[in-house]
Amino acid sequence: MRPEASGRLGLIGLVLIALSLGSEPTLADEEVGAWLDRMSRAVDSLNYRGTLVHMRNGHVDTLRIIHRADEDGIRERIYSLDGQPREILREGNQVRTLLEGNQPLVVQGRIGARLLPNLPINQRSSPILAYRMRFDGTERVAGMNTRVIEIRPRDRFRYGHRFWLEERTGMLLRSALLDHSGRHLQKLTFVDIELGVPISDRELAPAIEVRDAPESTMDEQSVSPPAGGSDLREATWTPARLPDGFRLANVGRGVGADGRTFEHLLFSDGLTSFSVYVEEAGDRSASERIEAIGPVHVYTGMLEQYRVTVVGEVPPATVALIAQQLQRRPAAGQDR
Amino acid sequence: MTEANREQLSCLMDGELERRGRDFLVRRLAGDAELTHRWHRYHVIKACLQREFIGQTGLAERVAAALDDERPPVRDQTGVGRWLKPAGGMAIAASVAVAALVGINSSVLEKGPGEHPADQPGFVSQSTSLDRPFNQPLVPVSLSETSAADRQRINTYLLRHNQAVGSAGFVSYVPIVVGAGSQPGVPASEPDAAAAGSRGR
Repeated sequence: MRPEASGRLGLIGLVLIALSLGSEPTLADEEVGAWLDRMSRAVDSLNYRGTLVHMRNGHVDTLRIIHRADEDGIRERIYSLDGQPREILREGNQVRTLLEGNQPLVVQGRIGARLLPNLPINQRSSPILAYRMRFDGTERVAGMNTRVIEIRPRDRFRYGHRFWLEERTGMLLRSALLDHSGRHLQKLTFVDIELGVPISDRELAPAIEVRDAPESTMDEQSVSPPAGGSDLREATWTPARLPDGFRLANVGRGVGADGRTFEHLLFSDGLTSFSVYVEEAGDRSASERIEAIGPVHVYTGMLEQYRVTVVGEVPPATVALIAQQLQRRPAAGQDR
Repeated sequence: MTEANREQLSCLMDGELERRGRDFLVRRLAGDAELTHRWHRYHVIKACLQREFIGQTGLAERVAAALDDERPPVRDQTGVGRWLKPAGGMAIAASVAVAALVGINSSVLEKGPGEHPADQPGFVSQSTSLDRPFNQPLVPVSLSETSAADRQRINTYLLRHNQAVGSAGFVSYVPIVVGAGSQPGVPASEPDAAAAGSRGR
């Protein structure tokens, strides 16, 4: 072999070895994973009240959040301080959305149990394959010292994140959503927050009353056990291909506001999740479209006589890909 | 084209550019083909998202075509992928490492749909060309563009998704509160609210 060819091969080899090392969990990955678990616990289990600022596309929204966790469970109220009054009330497994305005709306969700297994982040389906995670120094946010964590996606099918976590508790004080190139798409930050304070029932009561609004309630038809997960083989539908790292995490069924049954497939790569809903369309057809709710993208389209909805905090290309790849799963007896 | 140009173009579309900046950009648009092309693309994207585009969108077909264009993966016939363990990795000769990466690409990252267990769908290894059109700054559609029934359906599905995921806490629910801010019927006399509505935050 010529020396120059040999040298080039050696260089390529070193790069490849470095890449291969990147696909295995490192100490830094595990430390970052531990901090993300702390964050998850702190966000759920601490009492806090604070003011959140949400920035996206040059627009700024201000929100108020009040969160209480005690022996009665979690109660949370998030409401807007700008524009039309709107609130979200969480109480245990129930979530109620109140939207005031010219077309007021009440949406209620009742789900028996979370469908994503409640595991530490590093025991889930290898987020390290899909992301690069690292600490990025310390910063001061809302008067508190924070540890900064950056999570960059390895492909364009998911978003990255920067988290600013309060050093003592791990509480999330600032969060930024990144695209594949590291550009900030959206930022959410506390401008003031009180941690570990007593929260009264009065603070958690809704301030707005929505009258004469259509009310939508979604009920769980079969509740999946949270720890063991559901039997994934019950899925009637499946995407033929998925972006790297995403796996089917759970299958559920429910009944929509119109009484129709839908199948719910939940996919996750350990950090990012999206849901696929398939329901009989009946006489309702749906034009193919993608809608954006902040960073959340929603694909709606038809597959045979079924309406397909894909929902997730992922780029629009991802929801489109999943919907396009969706197909009926072979009968359970034939593929095992 | 710089990020600043794209941002200015986006602001121009949203009517957020002050007069001098607007005049300057319009003059540039007249003489800059790339900028003009991007301007057209933004409008097509916006029209598609707001379901005003009267041409053929064929989203599913384009996704399928983009996937078909992807080069099929090379299957791992050698099983050398397992050599790429971190402990031994540094000792591997460069030529072996090249072969090993091919093994990883084919055996771990890429599998055909038929080769998976019944409960695990297949994977694609890399981003495909289909996501390129979506890399442009997105002009999101407002939920006000949809019917009340559709809004209900989307909101309930989004709520259920957030509940199913569980652990993300308030971060998951903020998009619902913020995204719901652009309701139909916002009076035109409220410029801020109207602008927000057109973006469909």
